[in-house]
Amino acid sequence: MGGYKYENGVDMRVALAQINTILGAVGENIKKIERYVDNANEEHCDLIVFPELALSGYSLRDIVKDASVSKESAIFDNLKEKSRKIDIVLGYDQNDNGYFYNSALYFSKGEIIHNYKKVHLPDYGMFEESRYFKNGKNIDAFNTANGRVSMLICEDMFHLSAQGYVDKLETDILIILSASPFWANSKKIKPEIWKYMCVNFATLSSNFVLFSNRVGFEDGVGFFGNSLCVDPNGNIIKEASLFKEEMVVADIDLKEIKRAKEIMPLKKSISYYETAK
Amino acid sequence: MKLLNKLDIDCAVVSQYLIEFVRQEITKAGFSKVVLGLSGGIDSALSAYIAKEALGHNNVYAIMMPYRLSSQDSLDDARRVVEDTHINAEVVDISAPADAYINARGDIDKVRMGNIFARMRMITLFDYSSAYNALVLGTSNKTELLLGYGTWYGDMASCINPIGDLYKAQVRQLAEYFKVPESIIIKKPSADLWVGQNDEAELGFSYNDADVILYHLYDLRYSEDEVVSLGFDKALVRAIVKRVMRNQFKRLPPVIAKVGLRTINIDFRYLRDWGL
Repeated sequence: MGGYKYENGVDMRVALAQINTILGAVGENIKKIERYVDNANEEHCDLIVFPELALSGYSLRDIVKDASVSKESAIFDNLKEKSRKIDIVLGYDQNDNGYFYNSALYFSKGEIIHNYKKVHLPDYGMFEESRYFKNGKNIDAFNTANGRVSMLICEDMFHLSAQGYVDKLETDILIILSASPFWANSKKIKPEIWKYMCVNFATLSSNFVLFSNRVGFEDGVGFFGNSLCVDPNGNIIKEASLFKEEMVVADIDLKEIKRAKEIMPLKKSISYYETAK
Repeated sequence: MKLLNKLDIDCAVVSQYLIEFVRQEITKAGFSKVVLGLSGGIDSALSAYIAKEALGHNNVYAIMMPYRLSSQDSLDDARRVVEDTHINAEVVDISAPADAYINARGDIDKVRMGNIFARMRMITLFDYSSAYNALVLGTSNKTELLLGYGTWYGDMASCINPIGDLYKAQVRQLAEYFKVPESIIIKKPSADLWVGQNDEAELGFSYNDADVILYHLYDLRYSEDEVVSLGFDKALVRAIVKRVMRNQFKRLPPVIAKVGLRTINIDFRYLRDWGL
């Protein structure tokens, strides 16, 4: 496990940009994304996280091809350049050899250092993702200047197997990009479910969890925002507003990861079970 | 716990959400104003309060559209909403155009008359929509949409609807939250399409019962037998299920015969917010 800098006392400043997106208007959306990156850079952030499909919009249906871009596209040139100063995480509609993926990019030091393809594509209730997207096959971790990172996209987080797999990858920071729709009933509102999940994963894995969830409406479906930064003890240290487009900034002490592991050394007695017969 | 309490919602959060819905869906379509029919009933009253919060009172146009037999109480209640919210308001009496059509047709029963009134109001609202460059705000609640208790292309016609996923009981909760005038909240629901009309008498069941039955059937996915076991009459539950099925057409755009490779609403699939 490499890449830790917390021994040297490095603090990290993270921006969660819960933006609204124009459905299918990639050219306009990239401009907004670049503006937010500049804002985060001015605030001396080390990392900015945008939501799922921030470049294209969510309910793409037959726009899926028109709104898709390849990982190599020149549309990312400005972001690559900006990533010399700040790491950038962005959700996009990836065109890879004629197949479309609900993907996340990690930009750092002038290049794309990681591309994650969403594994769990929901197709129940209001969701149609697996009709339009091909699913990724693997969840992985990669090293950054601020630690070892995994990225998950929305529905992935509802799979305990995915959470367990990230736990095995011995990460420091889990980044979750999301376009999670609002609903409410007499027992709870949807944002509470995300709080439970993020707090639970952070507590049990001693990871920082960065949850960036978009806002805005698409044909009546409202994405609720309420992005979260959760520390490795399970404390919500930053929380963005419900429903409003905004960028929140969280200062995190990466040494908390080590402290949390000392307080609750869960990995000491870890045992990964064989697949159940 | 009373079964109806299962429909309780967090009014503070849901109201904030619905205000954002109206503001964003209107403005991203390039508009800043809405027009709505204000009947004096709870549904349009709540919609007016939401619209006022979303767009500001100057950007909301409430049109009161009485027929000569409409109840004075309805108009008085509508005026209370206008006074309280300071939204723009106009009275457009639909008696002359409705009567011109009705008299030309001869013998028309009251259901047809009710539909004519609803569609006359729709014509008025969409005309004002054009005149004021304002989108028509729908005011049908989930209970009546599911039951099909409305006029197709009449009161069911709108551009966006903030309350279409709220059961009648939830409309009441939010109306209390927004401090809609009490006379509107406590009166018996009526479409006021003819003298003395009473929704619950016409439907043959109460809105509270309908809400609980519909909520369990469609939101919670209870089986019909499971709903009956909550204490409802089997015939009532069956009748409501049949109503919901029979009225599915009212909730959808017209069916198009597929001929080509890509057919509108079948495999030509785009959101209305395409590019917005």
